[in-house]
Amino acid sequence: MSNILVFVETRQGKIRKSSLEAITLAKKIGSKAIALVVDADADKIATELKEYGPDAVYTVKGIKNYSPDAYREALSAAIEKSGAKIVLASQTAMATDFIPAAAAKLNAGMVTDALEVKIDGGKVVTRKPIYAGKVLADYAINSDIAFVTIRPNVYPAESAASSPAVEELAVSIPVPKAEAKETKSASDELDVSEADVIISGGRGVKGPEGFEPLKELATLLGGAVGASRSAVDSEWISHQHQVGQTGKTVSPVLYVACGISGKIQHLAGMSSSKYIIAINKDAEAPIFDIADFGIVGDLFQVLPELTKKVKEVKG
Amino acid sequence: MNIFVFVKHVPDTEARIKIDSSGKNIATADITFMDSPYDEFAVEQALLLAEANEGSVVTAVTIGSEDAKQLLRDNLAKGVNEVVHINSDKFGQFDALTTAKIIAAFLKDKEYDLVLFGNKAYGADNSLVPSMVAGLLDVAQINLVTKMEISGKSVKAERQVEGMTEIMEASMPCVISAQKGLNEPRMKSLKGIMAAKKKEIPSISVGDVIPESELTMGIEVLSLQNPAAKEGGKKFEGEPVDAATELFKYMREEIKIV
Repeated sequence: MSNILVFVETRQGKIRKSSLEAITLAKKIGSKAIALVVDADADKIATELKEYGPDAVYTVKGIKNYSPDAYREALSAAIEKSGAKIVLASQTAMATDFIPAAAAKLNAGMVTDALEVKIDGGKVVTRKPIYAGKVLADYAINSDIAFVTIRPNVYPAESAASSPAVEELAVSIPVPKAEAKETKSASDELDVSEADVIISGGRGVKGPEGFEPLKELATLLGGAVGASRSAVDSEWISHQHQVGQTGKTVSPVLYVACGISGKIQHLAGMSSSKYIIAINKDAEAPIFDIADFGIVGDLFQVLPELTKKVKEVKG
Repeated sequence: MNIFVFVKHVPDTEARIKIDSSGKNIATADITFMDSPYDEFAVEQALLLAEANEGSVVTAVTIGSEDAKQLLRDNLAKGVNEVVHINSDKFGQFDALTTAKIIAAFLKDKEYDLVLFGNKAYGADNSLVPSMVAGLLDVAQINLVTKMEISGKSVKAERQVEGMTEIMEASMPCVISAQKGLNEPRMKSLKGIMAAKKKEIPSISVGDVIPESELTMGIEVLSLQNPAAKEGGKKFEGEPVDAATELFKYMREEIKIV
């Protein structure tokens, strides 16, 4: 068993929920879970982390804006200091941006988007979907240090109080070769990759305004709005929402496919959802082959009725 | 500007993927290969940048078997200036680290301003190679790019992160990985196809780029499997109000989500 270093992602002073999932996993499979926080307010973040049980927290406070090269330095310093043989992070745009560069520098193997991580015969063994979910691959990581990012929502974060030692790392921060200058929030929308509930629309939604009933239900259920490729290609909704082959692969608790026929590229991206509900006018649509509950009907008639009922209890 | 764009041929994304008898590779006998979907955005961006910056040279590079040459011919037909085929029959078995090492070794003695990739290849779906190459070459990188502009020696680009757009600035040389939305990939022109037919595709071997002894892989495939087919469950056809009642009951009693 080995020390595991967990990169805890923060944005605008907030911990990303899925980073807590990585801490929970680290506690399960490692002997010590050490969290790395790169944030000007890292001490505040470290206090919040206590509830999730890391054995130690390393902080790096000197990096003003996100920069893949500066974050890489911080991570490398933390790996050296901790002697960790496993580096874990949640599968996010930030983690997959700078962590592979750090892994390559250390001549280390990395697996992204893992659904399962365990230690077997002293090696890190991971399971991940490949070919956009059409195949599941089991990989052993053979390098001295193993790098893994895990898919959000797969390992639920568990609270476990601890009183970790908090230590600030001395890192010489390079002049960034690439740096974030600003971020534009499209909205405060939850990303599909992190949502427990996804209400998703396809060709049957018929236009941008057709997504409104989907949005209403998603908001009520605290979920996100997803879309098929044809809805995105028709420019009814932005690509951020796309689920499937050229979009995101998701594993929510509930996926509601509205007016989505269910092409193989779409199914590959969402068939690992725990529950799938499909609403489609076409009784022969392939989506019904994988739906736990299928409604043959018009989404514009069924959804508002359903929303009404949900409102009554969520009132 | 010197622009390199790395492309990969992958199984047709419409095809079902089967596992071969070893249980460690996919069966490739019945499938046709195509350009990996995100690579087309990278190629298009290279061509657009070259058109906007006179005197630029776009070189498309692929690693793969003899068959992969077709991909380079397709890219010549779209308008890339140069192509290089790095020949390897083992490419399908290389992990991201090995691929990144070959690419970094290939680029090391070249002059390059931009190195473009698709943000991930259909297949391992890892999104690792661009960042690993940037790490090995110690150059700037911006991934998941949906918009970019060049001024002098710097790149300004927008990238998609969860629920946000992040605006990045980087100095060249820079590795860029393309996300859908960056541009609209062009089709091959008939004239381009004819011209590309006559062109020689230069081929080198992996061993010409990097000693094989340096290609230790970071990960090993233990097994591949097709996920268990999900069975369809109940189906309801009837009045919308009744459908909604059934659905609500299911969400409340079965999924316990409301």
